Parts: sequence; C-alpha cells; structure tokens
Amino acid sequence: MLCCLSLCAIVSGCSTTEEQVAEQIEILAANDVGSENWEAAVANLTAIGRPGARQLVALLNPAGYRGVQYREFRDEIENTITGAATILGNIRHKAASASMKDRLTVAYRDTERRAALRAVGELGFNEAAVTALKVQLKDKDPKVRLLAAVALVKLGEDTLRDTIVNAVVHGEQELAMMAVSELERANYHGVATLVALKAEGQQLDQALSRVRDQLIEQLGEDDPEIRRASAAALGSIGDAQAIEPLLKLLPDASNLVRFHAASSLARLGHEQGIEFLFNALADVDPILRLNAIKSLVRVQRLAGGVEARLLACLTEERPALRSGAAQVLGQAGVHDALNPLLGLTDDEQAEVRWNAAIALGHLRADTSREALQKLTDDSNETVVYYAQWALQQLGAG
Amino acid sequence: MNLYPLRNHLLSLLKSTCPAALGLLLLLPIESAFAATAETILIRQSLEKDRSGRRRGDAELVLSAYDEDRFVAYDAAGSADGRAWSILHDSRESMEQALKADLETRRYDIQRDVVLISVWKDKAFVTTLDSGAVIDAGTGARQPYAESLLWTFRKLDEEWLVTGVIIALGDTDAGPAAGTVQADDVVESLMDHAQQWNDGSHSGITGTLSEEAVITDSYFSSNPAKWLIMFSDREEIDEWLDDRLTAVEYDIERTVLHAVVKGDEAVAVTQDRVTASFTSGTEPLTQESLTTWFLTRSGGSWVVAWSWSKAKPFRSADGATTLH
Repeated sequence: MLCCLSLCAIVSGCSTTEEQVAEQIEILAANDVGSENWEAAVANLTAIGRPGARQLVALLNPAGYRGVQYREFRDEIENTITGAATILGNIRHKAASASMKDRLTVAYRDTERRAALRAVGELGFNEAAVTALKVQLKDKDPKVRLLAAVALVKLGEDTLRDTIVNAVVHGEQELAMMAVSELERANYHGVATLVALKAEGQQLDQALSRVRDQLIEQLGEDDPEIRRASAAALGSIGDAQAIEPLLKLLPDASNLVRFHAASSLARLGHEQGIEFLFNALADVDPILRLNAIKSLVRVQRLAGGVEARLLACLTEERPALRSGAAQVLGQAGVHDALNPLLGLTDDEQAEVRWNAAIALGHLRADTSREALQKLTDDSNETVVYYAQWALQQLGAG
Repeated sequence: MNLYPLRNHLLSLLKSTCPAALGLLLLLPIESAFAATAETILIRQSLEKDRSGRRRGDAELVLSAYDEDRFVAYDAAGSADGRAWSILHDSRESMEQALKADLETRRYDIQRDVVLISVWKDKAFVTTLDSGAVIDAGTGARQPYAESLLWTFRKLDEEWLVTGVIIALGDTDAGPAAGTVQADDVVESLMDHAQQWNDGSHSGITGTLSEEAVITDSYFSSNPAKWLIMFSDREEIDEWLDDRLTAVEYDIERTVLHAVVKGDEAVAVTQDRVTASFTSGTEPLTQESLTTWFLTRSGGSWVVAWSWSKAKPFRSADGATTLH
C-alpha cells in the first residue's frame, strides 16, 4: 500500500513537472525572442533545470515536430529552438551537445544559430562540436565567426583568442561591442582575453567590473569547478574587491578551490594567500606540496612577487622547502636563482640535489654545466639521471 | 543509425572467442533497429509490383499494389503547383479499365528509380523517376518514356498499398499555374472547414476530415525531400487539437483558388491567411500559405483525405521562411 502511494506520488510529481515544462514551452512559442514573457519562460525553465531537459532537447529538431508536438508557424519554431538552446546552455546539459551542434548551420535562422553557438560552448568539450564550430569560423557573417570563436575558447581552444582580439581591435564598432559583450557572457572563459585587451589599451573597466561581480557571486556555487574557475579568473582581473570573498575560500572543501583562491590572493599581493601556498610547500602531504608548487609557478609567472621568498626558501632547514622552491624557480624561469641553485647541487638530501638539477635544466645556463657534470657521478641514481637530462637541455657545450 | 557494422563486428568477435555467447546474441531481437528499413523494403516491393506488371502487361499484378478501399490517380500536368492538378481516375475500377486497355496496345520497358521514401507511422509518400520506352504492340515502335511520379501509401495488415499516384509531377523549377474553380460544393466544404477553425470547434474540425486523413507540411517548398507527414490519421490530429486549441485561437481568411472534381474525388488549392492568437502570449502570429487538398466524398459530404499544407508560395519574399 505504502509502495503504491509512493509510486503515485512519484508519477504525479513527474507529471506535474512535465506539464509545467509544457506550459512554459507554450509561452516560449507564443512570444518573440527577447520579449519579457519569453525571457521569463527561459528563466523559469532554467530554474526547473534537468527535469525539463528531455522536452527541451526534443524542441531542437524541427523535423521531429509531429503529432502533438507539431507547430505550423515557423516563428513559433524559432522561439522554441532559440529558447531551448539558451536554456540547455544555461543548465549545461551535456547530452544536448549532439543536437545543438546540428543547429549551427545556415539552414537555421540567425537567432537560432546564435543561441546554439552560445550554448554549445557551455556544454563542455566534444570533438564533434569543435569540428562543427570550426566550420562556422568560415561563415561569411563576421558575427557568426565571432560567436564560433568565443564558443571554441569556452571549449578550451585558446588559439582562437586572436580572432576575438582582432574583432575588438580592428573590427567595426558594432562587431567590437558585440565581441566585448560575448566575452562578458563567456563568464570566466572570457576573462583572459578581456584582460589581454585591456593591456592593449582598450577601455574595458566596466565590462571587467561586471564579470568580476558575476565571478564573486559564483564563488558560492555548489559546483567546485565553478568555484575553482571563478577564483582563478578573479586573480587575472586583479581587482582588490575580490580579496575578501577569496579569503572565504581558503578553508574550502575542495583542494583545487583552495589553491586557486590562494593563488589569486597571492597574485593580488595578499599575504594570507602567499602564506597559504608556502605552508603547503612544506606540508608532509605530497599532494598538497605538488599543488603548492603548481600554484607558486602560476603566481610567479603571471604576477611575480614571491621570488624573494622562494630564494630564501633555498637555504631553509626543511628539505621540502628547499626542494619545492627549487622546482618553482626552475619552472618559472627565475634566472636570479642560478647561483643559489648551483649551491644546492651539494645538498645533503638527494631529492634536493635532483630538483636543483631539474631547475638548472630549465634555466639552461651554460655556467651550470660543470656542476651538473659533477652530479653525473652522484651516488644516487635519480640524481644522475636528472643531471644527464639537464645537460641535454644545455646542449653541446 | 546503421547498426549492421557494429552487430557484424560483435558477431565475428564472439564467433572466434565464445561460441556460446554467439548463440545468445543471435537470439536478441533486432527488429527495432531495422524497423525503418523494413518499411522501405515493403514499399519498394509494392512499387516493383506496379513496374513489373506494366513490363509484363499484367494489369492484375499492377492493381495488386493498389488499395481496394480508395485509390485515385491525379494528373499534375508537369507542375509542382496544385492549381494545375486534376483527377485522372477517381477509383481503382476506373484505373483498372484504363490500364487494361493501355496494356493491350502498349508495353512498358521501363526502369524505376526511387528518389525518396518518407514514412510516418502507417502513411508514406514516395517519389519515383521512371525511364525507358513505351512499345506499341501493333507496330513495335519505341517511344522514349520518362515520368516523375509522387505516390501516397498506407500500411494495411503489414502491406503497403498505393492510395494515390500523382502523375507528371513538376520539379522545383516549375512555375505557378492558374487554378480553376469548378465545384461549388467543394468550395463550400473548404470554407466550412475554415469556419470550424475560426469557431475553435474541435469536433467541427475533425468532422471535415476522413478517418485516414494525412496532413503533410511542405515547408513552403516544392521539393518533396523537404516535406514531412505531420499527422497520419484523424486520431493523431484529434490529439494535437486537444492541446493546441487550449493554447491558440485561430482566425483563417480563406480563398479557394482551385477546385476540380471527378466522381467522388476532388483536388483543391486554398490560399489561407492564418492568424494565431496565443492564450499565453501577447503577439499574434500571421502566416500566409497555399494548401493543396485531396478530398473524397463520404456520406454526401466532402472530407479531407490528404493535405499538403504550406505549399510552395511561388513568391520569393516567402521563400525566406523555408526551414532548410
């Protein structure tokens, strides 16, 4: 009896959601794209999320509109395809990627194509989607090319950044404004390009402020990947308003979130972030040490400011600090570290010696050849191996 | 998706590694994966009966492919515009007589290329291109033969039967045709049909449809590859109306441009200006389109047997609304 009641409740619950989705789809269909009612339906369906995804994916293919799904007005189909694409992008429904990529072509109306181009970048890397987007890079419409480039950047194809930068720097005013607007919409994916454009003298303070506010809000998201990426992007924007919210992430449950928050704080020059990373560099947990090294390399490369402390660590009593600092200085290419690193080739700890050898290999200074040659006779096999590797990096003397 | 390569790969893999598992795999049902292919094979078989019968001069074989309940032959007169279409044979019996007379005097040495098969549930339409020669039985003279045909089918007891054939269908380059309005009762019936929509009368609308009524959306194109069957019978239309009439109010302004009759069959074309007002929205939508209608007389009234809605408008401005 109880089972029956539960089943009824589940069925009734599903049916209610399905009906609610169907009602909102009717509102989408009946109202022009961008109108108040249409936007409200998009917001409502985004709030419903995954339970409505199946019905929305079904809307993407107009050839499938048969029977009770049938709509005789092309404008209604445009309203529903554009709405479905926007919502599926908002809720990042990965399973929609295959249907979404097919809506990019010239067979569809501009609003449908643009919504699909914006959404497909939100659905995560997918080879077929990337291939379909690259085809759109050859479209005669510069706006379509721009949207395809932004979508590809969102999917991790960073080489397309130049296309977007060109649209802003050399494009017509309307295209340039659209490019900036799309970069804003691209969330954390667009930050690196916006920052690069600002460095080239573009007036993007307002755009960056809006993205900053969005990123700060996203630091409270449930999804750790959104928190991580938002924290990292805030470091790139370099705005002190992000310091307080980033500090709240230092005790985050996710390792990656903590380290990216600390990196961004360090890039902003905040002592608590720097302290967090150096403490982790000396931790007994090798995973934390590894994260600290990666983070400090990122900080030193992108902002500097930790070089002096890293150099000081080379003479620290704790071997983990000497070893970790050597790795960071080598990978970040800090040439001022050459002499202290040469000094570490005599370190009593084998791990410190081999990390010094690796760092010297990265720096490729000919003056380190003699010390590295000496290490090829070291009693520790690992040290010998990395000394030989480093000598290869130096090339023939 | 074609699952043959995957299945064959699995079969060869299992054959070499585990014969017992191979036996189990062969017991798995595969019908669902190949259902669509099975339909097209059956439709091709029906088309082949028609072609073979003509080649052999066997009228019975030709007629075995045609639906006994309803068969109509239309003459498209080389046009894709329904305003040029008329009825050649209004029944299977009329077709039978003409066919027998024809096959006594001529033999068809023809090949048939199936260009397109579009299936939805138990209804389908097909386009074929026949080519070859017609040979005069008396003189042996060969005349070149080429014909573009549009066929309509319905599935009955696992057999696909021809319900209609539109002979000499024009291609996508065919221009507009002038219509002829001959049949006042057909005009009256089509105007009544529009009025039922304007009244939002669910039963009134379905009352103007035959039980097997098919609605095809032509997407403003005369290319059959772009057409799709949207509703395969009155029941399906009825279900759609259940939802649709609660969300949309229609206003149809209809002009009948073409209406010709032969016996109990009619072909007509209407120009409709449809305005839809949405109960959940603010902006009504308006759409102008041409619809080609095949009607049949049932119980003294004309009812819709098949309609080709949103036919090619023959106006470049409306071409922009095509989907593909």
